[in-house]
Amino acid sequence: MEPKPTKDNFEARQILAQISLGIGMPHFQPKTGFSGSPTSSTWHSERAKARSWPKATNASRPSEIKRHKERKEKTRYKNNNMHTVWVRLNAVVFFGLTVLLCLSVLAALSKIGHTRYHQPKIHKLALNQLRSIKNHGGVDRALLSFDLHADMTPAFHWNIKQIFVYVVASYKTDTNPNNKIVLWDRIIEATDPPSAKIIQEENVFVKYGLMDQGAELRGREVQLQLMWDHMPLTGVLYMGEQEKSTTSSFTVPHEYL
Amino acid sequence: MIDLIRDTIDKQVIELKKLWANKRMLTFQLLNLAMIVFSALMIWKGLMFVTKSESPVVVVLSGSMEPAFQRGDILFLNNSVQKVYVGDVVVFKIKDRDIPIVHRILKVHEKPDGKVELLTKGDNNRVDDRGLYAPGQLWLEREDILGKAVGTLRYVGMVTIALNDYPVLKYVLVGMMGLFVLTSKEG
Repeated sequence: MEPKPTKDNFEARQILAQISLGIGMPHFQPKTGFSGSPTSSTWHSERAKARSWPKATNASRPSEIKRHKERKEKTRYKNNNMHTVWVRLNAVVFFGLTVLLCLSVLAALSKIGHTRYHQPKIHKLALNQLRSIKNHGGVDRALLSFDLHADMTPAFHWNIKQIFVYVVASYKTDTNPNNKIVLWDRIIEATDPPSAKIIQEENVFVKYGLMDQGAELRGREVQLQLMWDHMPLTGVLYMGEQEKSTTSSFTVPHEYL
Repeated sequence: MIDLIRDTIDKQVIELKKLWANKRMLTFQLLNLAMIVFSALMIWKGLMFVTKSESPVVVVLSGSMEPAFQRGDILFLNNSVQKVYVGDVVVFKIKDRDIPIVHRILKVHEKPDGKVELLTKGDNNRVDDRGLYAPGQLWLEREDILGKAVGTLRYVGMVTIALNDYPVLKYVLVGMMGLFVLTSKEG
């Protein structure tokens, strides 16, 4: 049988509802409690009893009423203290940020080991023509063009924003045992069409001249190597390079031309 | 909205008064605040130690490395690597200039004693960085480099940029955070 709700019972339920909402119980519906099914209603009243809120019978005693009021005061006081709107706003914002951070970390972690199975294919990187080698104010500068056939598609995955592809010339001189100079570079963005990720170009003129620090470039052997830098949406930056065994090299003429 | 803010401020004032009356509680909350501040400091100093970089995290301020790095992205730096290679994205600082620059190494000339002379360039710039260096400076050295960029996180630096552009915001934010920590009942 459904118990007829008394006034005090109603009050108790309201307090209970307040608390339940406070700690986030989504299935608790204080408004429909009375017209709802008998079972749900009794469940509610059982819960009210279980929480030991003052019932109609003993709330009639003055001391009990006083205590009840005190308790109500306490609840309200507590709510005031928590300046709820700000606390909740704060919680929501920080929870959101935490979730974003976790997702970023997961995205970064998800592609660890990608390079082990997906390596760009470098078919050809070789000198096409040495256009000139001149002395510019005391330093040697060579201008050249090269052929580049490479498929960079495998380097891309969902956490890659762009691949920075560059051609490096390395050579040794007496002054500098190790020189590495970028001759050409290109940014391939993940949003570029698939055709842009396959480089199939002949006779590409260098973007930056092959310029030595001194005048020691003539007669040196220069190795060309393709390298690329993976720039992620979020996470770790890492490099890739053409295998040393597949690189090509050429010798700069002994005379200026 | 105004009412809400006024209400909040009133409550904070009441809380502060109560805290002032209860010295034991006040001490506790102050220690709480100190702990947060010092934890942050410790993390920062710890990162400095591990990465050997004077600023392990930097905010990108210019668009010279776009589209890879935009204004407001943060970069994690590592300076514990001995060598820097061509193609590495590095953060360097020019003598007598406050703001560090994030650019890519374009040339590396290594001397017999292992010292290197470097030239950098921004991906999005048309020319190399000689114009940005100190007058007469042609090359960077290893010591000029604050660290190599090893990781990136987007947008986080926007907060820093906002705080730098509007210094008032800094005091408001720090003050509010301090106040809320002091008056919060969690700890």
